[in-house]
Amino acid sequence: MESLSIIWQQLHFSGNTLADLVFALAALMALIFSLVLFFHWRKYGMGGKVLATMEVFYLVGVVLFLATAFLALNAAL
Amino acid sequence: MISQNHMIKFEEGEEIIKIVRRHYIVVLPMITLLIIAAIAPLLIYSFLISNTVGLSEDLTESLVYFFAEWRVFAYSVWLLLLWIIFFLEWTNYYLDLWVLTNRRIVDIDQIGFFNREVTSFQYGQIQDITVETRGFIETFLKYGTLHIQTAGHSRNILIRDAHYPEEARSLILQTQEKLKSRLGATIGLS
Repeated sequence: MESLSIIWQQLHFSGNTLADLVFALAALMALIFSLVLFFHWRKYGMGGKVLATMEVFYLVGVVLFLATAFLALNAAL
Repeated sequence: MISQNHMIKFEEGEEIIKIVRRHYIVVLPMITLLIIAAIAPLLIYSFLISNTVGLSEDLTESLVYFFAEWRVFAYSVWLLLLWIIFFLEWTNYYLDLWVLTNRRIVDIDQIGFFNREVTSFQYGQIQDITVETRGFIETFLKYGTLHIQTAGHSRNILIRDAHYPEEARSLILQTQEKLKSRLGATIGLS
């Protein structure tokens, strides 16, 4: 737990730099498109294994890219 | 497990027999473009710093500095954008389908992300079904255009690049025959 809090203290999001703004916009875009996609998949998709797999695949990708961007942002600052 | 689609209101006793979608190959050009777009920043960077363009030293230095500091961040954001574009395109492909039920055929035409057309017709309305398979790739990968001519519809109902169109055609014809014989038996009884 202590190591987690040390890592957390190292990470920060000041919102002052252009990179912070780019990250915030990217995260917002990901959120909006995720909502739109999930709305379409739930409402108009017919269920099934393919859709379920793609949903997981999509979420893993988005989380991975956002996490990498956030960590890289902190490493660069 | 097939769940009900909000675009279609199923009648009581109506069951889905088959869902026909376009072949996976139709998304291949889009995937190729996205892969090129994913590699492009790396190639552009290598090209810019390789002195073939003749950039000034200051500019080259700034580029090298920028990429050294921000490459992981910028590339992650770029890949995130491409990832989302891929899923938007895939959704457009995936939601474009035909639903064959034991009573009717529902054609859901996904034109754009917020634009779709739903046409529904009974088996009794079907006048002719044509399957068009053109060229080596379509024959080899078993996809083609399924074209249905119906009575009472002003426009042609077709699904381009349908996967296993022959199978869908036989299934439609079989169901049509079954419904016809059932109707005949009902009329005979009455």
